[in-house]
Amino acid sequence: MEQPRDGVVGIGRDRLDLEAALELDREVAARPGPVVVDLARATSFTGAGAAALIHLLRERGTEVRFRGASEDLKRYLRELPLSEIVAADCLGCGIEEEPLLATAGGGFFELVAAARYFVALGLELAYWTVLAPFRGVKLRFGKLVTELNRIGVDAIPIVGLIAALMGVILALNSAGQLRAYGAEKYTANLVGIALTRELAPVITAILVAGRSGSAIAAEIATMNVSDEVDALRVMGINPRAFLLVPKLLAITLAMPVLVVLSSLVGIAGGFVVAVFGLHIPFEVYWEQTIRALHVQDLVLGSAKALVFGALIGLTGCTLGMRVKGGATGVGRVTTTAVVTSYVLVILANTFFTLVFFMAGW
Amino acid sequence: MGRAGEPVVEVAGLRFSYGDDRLVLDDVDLEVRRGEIVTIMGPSGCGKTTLLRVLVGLELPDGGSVRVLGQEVGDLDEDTADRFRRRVGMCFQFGALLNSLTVGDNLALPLREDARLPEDLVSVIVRSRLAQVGLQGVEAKLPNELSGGMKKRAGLARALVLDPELLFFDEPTSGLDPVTAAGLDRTILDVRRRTATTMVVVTHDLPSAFTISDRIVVLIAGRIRAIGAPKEIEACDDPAVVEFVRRRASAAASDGGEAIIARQFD
Repeated sequence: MEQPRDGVVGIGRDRLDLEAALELDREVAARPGPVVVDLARATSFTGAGAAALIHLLRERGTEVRFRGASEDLKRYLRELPLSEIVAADCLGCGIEEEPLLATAGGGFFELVAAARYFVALGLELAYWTVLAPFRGVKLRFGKLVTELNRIGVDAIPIVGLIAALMGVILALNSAGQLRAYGAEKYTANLVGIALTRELAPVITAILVAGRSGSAIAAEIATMNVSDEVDALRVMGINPRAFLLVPKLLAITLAMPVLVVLSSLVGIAGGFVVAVFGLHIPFEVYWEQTIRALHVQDLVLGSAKALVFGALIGLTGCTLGMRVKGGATGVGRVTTTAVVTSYVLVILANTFFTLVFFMAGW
Repeated sequence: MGRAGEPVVEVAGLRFSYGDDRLVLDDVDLEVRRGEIVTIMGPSGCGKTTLLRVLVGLELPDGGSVRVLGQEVGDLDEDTADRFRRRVGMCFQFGALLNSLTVGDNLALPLREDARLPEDLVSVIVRSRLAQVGLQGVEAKLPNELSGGMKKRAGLARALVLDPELLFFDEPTSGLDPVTAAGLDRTILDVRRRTATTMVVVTHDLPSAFTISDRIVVLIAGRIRAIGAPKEIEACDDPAVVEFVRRRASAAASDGGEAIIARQFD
């Protein structure tokens, strides 16, 4: 930096770049009152350097004067909307945070709107499953089969694996406790009932929510942000009937099948551990399982699964259709869909268990 | 198809906002007559895409009247909206082709909604529409395999597939090089020559607007500042229109900057 005279700050480099500008900024900030910035030495400039001069104009207003600026630099500044940039209160580069109350209020209204959409979509699902077949309305079977494959068939390996392991864990834990009372053979009852009535529906729902609920939300949200859903609307194709209903139907129908399968595989897992690991005789385990399990248990488990499937599907579809913002929005609704599905499934399961308990089922 | 020259879009006193207090469209009046190409032009964020979305019924107006093809778009219920939309076509900015379907299936989608059409006829229509926009042999490709210009052409072919009476375009040439953009302009004019379709185009591409338009609407900050034939817009003396159309800083803005330089630069 050159030794400045009083009130004059000189640029110490040939080039007015960001480094030179930062030095100028420091020098000028150290001098209260009117100041002259001598730019004569700078034969060239960069955009960042020129921007720093505008920053000085914003900070010091008419207190700052510039001399020796090259014609190039002046021309560059003339081409900018200089007066607007200098006068603007905030350049608006940062994202303004909304006041807390406004955020909470907006969140509440969004929740109400989403809940209304969720219910309307639920009614539409009911229409398509219960009424439409009798009214001769065309259901998109091709799409339904594709979705059934994606949501149901493709999920079988992971659902089977987790169910088998759950059976193993249940059998080992319960046998350990029951052995103390010489009641090891009741391991079969515990594994069978716990799996069919509670664990298989809930664990399968959690897997399906993570696998397919998230995929539904992400796919529909992506289609929304890339205008694909609007394109369907403009073509006169109802996006709910075209996109959402096949997915909703598929997930609702796939869940009970997956749950029955998961119950059976889980029981088989428990069976293998009990018979080969804990040496409970094969016939005893088999007989106990048959005695403990009623068709009613499988039916109740499947009924729950049906509702869980609908809840997961409706959550994914609702959030996907109500996405806001681009890629960030898609990511947000995807995680929200999974978490919301978990909460709804556990709430619904608590409700079912209470009702079944009070009804003595 | 109705008479040439009769109004197909009639907008009066249209107001629209996205939930907050800021009006995106403020007291917009507009008439588009059958067979003409009207371009809505304006800087980014002036409300032109919103106006298009209102016209096509994707957004509901807050106030005023919007009649398109004789229908009040604010009053459409779901069934009439679907029927109405099958009479209009829309080309989205980025094509909005369904990425999970092939280009051919994208075009066939609205046709297959009509169960009376045999699959063979559907495929003939698809191929001929693709050929019309200069795309051949891409039926089996996925949209992601096409270039930006090809996606826009495919989007145009899909919009044409139901023989719409009215065609809307959202930024048809944005993101295209000048040669491809000029090619798309020629395609648009070619489609109009053959089908006499009415077109409403939203763009900020000046050369394109002046090439294809019968009339140009200049929309600035949600208000219409000028309507007229391209020559009339060029001759318009409204400073805001001059700034946009001639791509020159307006007198007010440059004076402000000049004043600072004159005052504070020796």
